[in-house]
Amino acid sequence: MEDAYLVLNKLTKTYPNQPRSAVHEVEIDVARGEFISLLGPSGCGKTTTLRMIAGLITPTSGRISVDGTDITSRPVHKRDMGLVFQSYALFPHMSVGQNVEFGLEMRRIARGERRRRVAEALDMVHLSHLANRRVSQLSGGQAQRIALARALVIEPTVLLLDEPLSNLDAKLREELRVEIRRIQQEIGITTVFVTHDQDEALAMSDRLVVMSEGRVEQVGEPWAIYETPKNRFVADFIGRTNMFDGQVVGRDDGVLRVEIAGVGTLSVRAPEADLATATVMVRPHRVRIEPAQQMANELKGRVVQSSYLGDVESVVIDVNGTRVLAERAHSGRPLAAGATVGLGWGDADAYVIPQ
Amino acid sequence: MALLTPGLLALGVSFLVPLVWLARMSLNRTVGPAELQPAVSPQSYIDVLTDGFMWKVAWHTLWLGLLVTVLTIVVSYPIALFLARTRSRLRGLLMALAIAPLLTSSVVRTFGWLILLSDDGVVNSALRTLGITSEPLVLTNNVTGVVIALVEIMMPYAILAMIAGFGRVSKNLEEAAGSLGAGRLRCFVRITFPLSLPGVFTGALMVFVLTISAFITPRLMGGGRVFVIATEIYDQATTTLDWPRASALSVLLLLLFGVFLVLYQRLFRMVEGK
Repeated sequence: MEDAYLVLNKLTKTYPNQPRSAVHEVEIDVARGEFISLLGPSGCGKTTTLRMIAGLITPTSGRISVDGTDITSRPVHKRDMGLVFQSYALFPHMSVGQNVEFGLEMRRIARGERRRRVAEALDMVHLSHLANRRVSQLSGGQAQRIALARALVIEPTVLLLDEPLSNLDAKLREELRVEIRRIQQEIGITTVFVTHDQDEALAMSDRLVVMSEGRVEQVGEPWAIYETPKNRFVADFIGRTNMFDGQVVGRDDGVLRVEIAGVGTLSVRAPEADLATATVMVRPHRVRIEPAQQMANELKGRVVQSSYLGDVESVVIDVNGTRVLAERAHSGRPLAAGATVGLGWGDADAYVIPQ
Repeated sequence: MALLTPGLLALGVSFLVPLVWLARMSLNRTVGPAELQPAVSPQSYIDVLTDGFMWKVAWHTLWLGLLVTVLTIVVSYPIALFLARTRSRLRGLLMALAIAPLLTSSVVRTFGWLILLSDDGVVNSALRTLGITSEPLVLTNNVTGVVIALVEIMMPYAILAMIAGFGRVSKNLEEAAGSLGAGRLRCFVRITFPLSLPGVFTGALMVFVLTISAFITPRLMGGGRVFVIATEIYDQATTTLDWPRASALSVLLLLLFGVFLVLYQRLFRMVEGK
């Protein structure tokens, strides 16, 4: 990347007596002001990567640089990075204001300026009125906002967020998600966000890094990762999906014909594919139930289970022994289990996973 | 509630009843060696409180308690902090080693120190061989020996109590302080140490109370030359056979404990900031 600000170069962490590296040759370039998320199941190495950036873990090999300066061997307290933890990690023996002030004190900034910057930071998270509170009097959402203010008041080069929303309840999580993104864009700080929650990652990030078993599986914008996953893992991990493995039986005008045992022959738009076998992916919300017009792919099946979620209905349909997930924008009474329904999707609704 | 009954009964029989009996005894009058006259008299208390020697013993006891407490906490703190924070697989083993001295009685351990610290014991021969001293240091039958032995004997208690009180010390907080620019020393001074204070206070109280009521070690290591309240009670009860006086001393020691408990709780609350 041309204007890469934070660069991870073949970053690797290996622990003794463990066969697999916790993080293996991870390469990520983050642009200045970019919000990037590290996403993956637990144990995928995302937190280890973040902690290496923060300086809390020493990499086994590889380099980290910020704005062209190699900081791989710089100790944590000289890295100038803002760190926010899942557990808030506010100092319980200090007031809210003292917590925010701590980083400025460590930088030996004069008292007057400290006061001013603490006030600004608290104002940014809309919690100026809590400056004299004790940490134990804060709610989870307030605590995490204060932690954010404390991390940002030192004007760090990079903001590192380690699952900051995971301890909060659903509604608050969404609220804080919006607020973190707002502040991040306001001050234009380069941010690395670690999460296992794909909704969070999709909603907040400029780009996503999907990780698995210590490796980077795919890097890209949220829509690109969702619509065009590079492999089965990414397709399966991000969102719900239907995947069908089959033989390619024909190709015509950019449309691949793939024979799926038990299901039939599916048409899928795949411009460059020249394959003998293919994995066809179709997202549940692209599958129409009882389509009004004719579609490129049509199947018949029996409803196994229907979950009514209010805005949508999530349906599991059995097509000759193959389970197909479908979603329909809800319209009245949900489908009854056992009912026979027709399904359909267009050839552009499906996608061939490159493997 | 029913589950509490056996415990309450045991406590009542083994603790409360003797205590009441002790208090009653302290009000009897002594008419001669080992001769009692049932009475309700404050005479023993007046005797004790107007006896200059008793005040000296009390002062000595307090002083010894504070000295042993400070030294024990200082040497135990790093061990407790390490044990509380380590993620090593050896943690269990190290914990066991730290607590293992509790398996032997303090009588045995005091005798051990008597041998080690005697004029031709290991410590003195080592010092002489290394040419540090020419004459043996007098480390037994005096306060120095009592302090050395008591500190060692109190360490396991201090370590256990401190680890239990280190709940607020957390790796994440130290990491947060680091990310905000605090190096190791400043992180310790500003974060780790203040958060470990509840543990320090718990440990200190425990050691102090155990020290001012310690009897065996001052008796054996002091060689009859170190007077503390506990040894004085013993002497009054078994040598002078003045039971009311021994009882009065015991009650006063108990009151002293009470005062320290209250002071401690005040201090603790202040540190916790509640």
